Amino acid sequence: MTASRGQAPQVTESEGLPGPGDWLVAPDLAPDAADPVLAPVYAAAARGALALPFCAACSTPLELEQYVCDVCGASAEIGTAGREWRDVPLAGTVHTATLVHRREPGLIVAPGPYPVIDVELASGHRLVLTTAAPSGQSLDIGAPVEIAFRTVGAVHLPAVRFPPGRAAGRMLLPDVTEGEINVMTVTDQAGPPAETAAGLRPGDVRALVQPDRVRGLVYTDPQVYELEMRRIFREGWVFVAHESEVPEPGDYVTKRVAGEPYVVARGKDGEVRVLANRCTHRGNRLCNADKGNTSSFRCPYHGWTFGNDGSLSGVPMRDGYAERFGEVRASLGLVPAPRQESYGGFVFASLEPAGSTLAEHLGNARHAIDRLVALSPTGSVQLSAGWMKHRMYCNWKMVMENNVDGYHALFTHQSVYDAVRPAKVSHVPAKTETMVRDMGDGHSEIDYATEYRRLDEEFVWYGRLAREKVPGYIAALEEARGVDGAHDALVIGPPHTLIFPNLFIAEMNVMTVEPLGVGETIAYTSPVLIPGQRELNRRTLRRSEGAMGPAGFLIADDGEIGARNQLGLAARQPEWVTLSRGLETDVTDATGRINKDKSAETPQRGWWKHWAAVLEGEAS
Amino acid sequence: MTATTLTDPSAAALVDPALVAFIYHEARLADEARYSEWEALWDDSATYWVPMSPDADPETQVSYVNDNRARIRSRVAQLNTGVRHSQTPPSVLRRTVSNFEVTDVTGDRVTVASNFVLVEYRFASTLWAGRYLHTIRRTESGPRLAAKTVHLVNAGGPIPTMAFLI
Repeated sequence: MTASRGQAPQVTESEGLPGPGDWLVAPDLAPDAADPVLAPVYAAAARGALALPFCAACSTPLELEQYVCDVCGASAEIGTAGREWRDVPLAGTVHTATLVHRREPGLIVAPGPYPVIDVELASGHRLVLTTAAPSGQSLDIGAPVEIAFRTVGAVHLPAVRFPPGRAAGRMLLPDVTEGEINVMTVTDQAGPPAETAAGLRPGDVRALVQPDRVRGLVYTDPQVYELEMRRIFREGWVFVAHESEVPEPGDYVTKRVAGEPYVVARGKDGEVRVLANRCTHRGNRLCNADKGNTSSFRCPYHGWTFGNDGSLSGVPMRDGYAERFGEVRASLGLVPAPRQESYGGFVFASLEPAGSTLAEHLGNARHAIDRLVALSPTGSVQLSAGWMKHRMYCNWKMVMENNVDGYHALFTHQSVYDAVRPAKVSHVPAKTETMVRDMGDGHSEIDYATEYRRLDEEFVWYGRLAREKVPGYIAALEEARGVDGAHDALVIGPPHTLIFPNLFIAEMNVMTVEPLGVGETIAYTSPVLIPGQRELNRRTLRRSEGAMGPAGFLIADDGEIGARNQLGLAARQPEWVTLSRGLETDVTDATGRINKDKSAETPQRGWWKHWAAVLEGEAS
Repeated sequence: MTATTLTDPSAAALVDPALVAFIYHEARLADEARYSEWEALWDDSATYWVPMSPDADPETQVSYVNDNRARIRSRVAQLNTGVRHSQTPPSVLRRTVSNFEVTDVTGDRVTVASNFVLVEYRFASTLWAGRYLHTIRRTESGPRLAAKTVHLVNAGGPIPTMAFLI
């Protein structure tokens, strides 16, 4: 997952293999590669080059449809020797730029506005291009740009690399409200960019993160937060819901993705869809309950009705659309999240059409989901007990990274060990074989498996429950996994794994976060239930209530410590937060970067490294 | 919320002042972080329940709090450690309880419904409100708290940290 955005497609990829699809237009709109005027441009683009015409007699750059040289008067007709195609440098400057708002479902696949840039090339040509990767932003006039390529259908086209290099001046900060930046404001801001007020530049985030420490303002800076909302929560994969929240056709739950309302609905065809919770007519929030079951969603404003598959099924007084009604109905279904995929029942989405697959995003972390579902005789888990919604007054990253902090438990949670019982295994690192692991791609975990296998005891992770208490579950698991397989699953138990950016599998609980602002977050937690295992599930519910949520013995204190951390970081000195614990003893193996000292800050180092790469647009 | 169905509208006038006094006492001990005294009000078998919706089924739905007697003891023990950070120092709390109605009488147990408004001051003031259902068992040594259910107005959440005794 380190593929750069906006990178030119690999030449090998273009040899016959269809690309992942253009971010802007549907493949149907691919130009004719054999177009008599432009064929040499397309052919050059396919090999990663930009070819443009020159006058063979005097080397003057020619317009694409210019047939006589302005300078020497020589003929430069298409297909004649008077018109010479040469590869030119992939560099130029912005002559002018605009942001286009265009919505033509089926043709334009980009959900938001996109830039169109008139580039003055170093060769002397002018080309009007869009960008190689999607962007809701335009560019400054005069900004230097590089040329890259996009692929529509099987045809390769030149495009502006976005974001350009650091020298390009102001940019990067998200246009969260979409469309506020247009050519007028860009013109207004021409000239030397302000240092900080105008936003973050490429490299600025990188400078906040070092291998063993991060700047405190990663938690407090509003510009960093805005960029996170765009790069991580809009453009990247985020966990949205679990399929078991909508078990039956017609079931739905409402969620927010990057602050936007979405409904996750299971259609009558059984498919689970992530759909924008907004009437396509005038924008009313369509579905206003947390959850329910319905065959259709009816907008209370003008009565438009949508099927639970998102299709527009009814428009009152349709005569008002006259002959255009068919077009209206076909084009105004609920808008699906541009990308949606599931793994192990966990539904993820991205609001950006182009990018990595979910499998690429999950990387090594998919093993955590495998480990969880291995505890279920049916191979699937159930998140049907509801979500505790806990408002915390700290930055969202603090909530997430704390979950894989093996250092804090003895202190933050001292009251639990003092009052109730000792920890499931020692939290003193020297007394246990528990390890921490940076799994790569921002994912990390505290892994008790080695320690539990050493103990070779079932349910250590579940209060040392005696298997006789849940005979039905044991029988079903042994039936499904065999006696040895069930024993191993019950010994190593569920994962304690953070999946970047917003999913934490906390043994038999799942936590996700919704950032509300730089210093405010909702933490959602739900117990992991096993289908059909009522006795086990009843115990899991009570364990979940004991540990998690606003009144939980554990998480209430994590919320408090988070709030105090946010308050402490208001002091600007020292500038850095230190994450060097265990740096010298990290080792790399096939599973990632591990440290056998549970209190090492290895997971945090992995988190921040990936975080910076995502914000810089170098990873997703 | 069948337990809150008022079978006799005149019941409001009939709430035993001793039960009301017990509920006031329970509220004041909780407000003043007198944890062990508060715990001593509970019966040997007890339920302290704060659900996430009024019609939640605790057998299948997760609750904010669903303590049996043993967990009430643990909760108080944790608060008494002095390092329950989310209540160190304790939130400053004051609540009013009103609108008493008897909703059920079964043997020696009486269920009294009431409304409450609670102001918590910690980093800032937070307003909590909702409906209490106190099930009180009359014994020879005085009333004992057998069950307390708290239906928060904002049970649907999100709610802030609620580590104090609601």
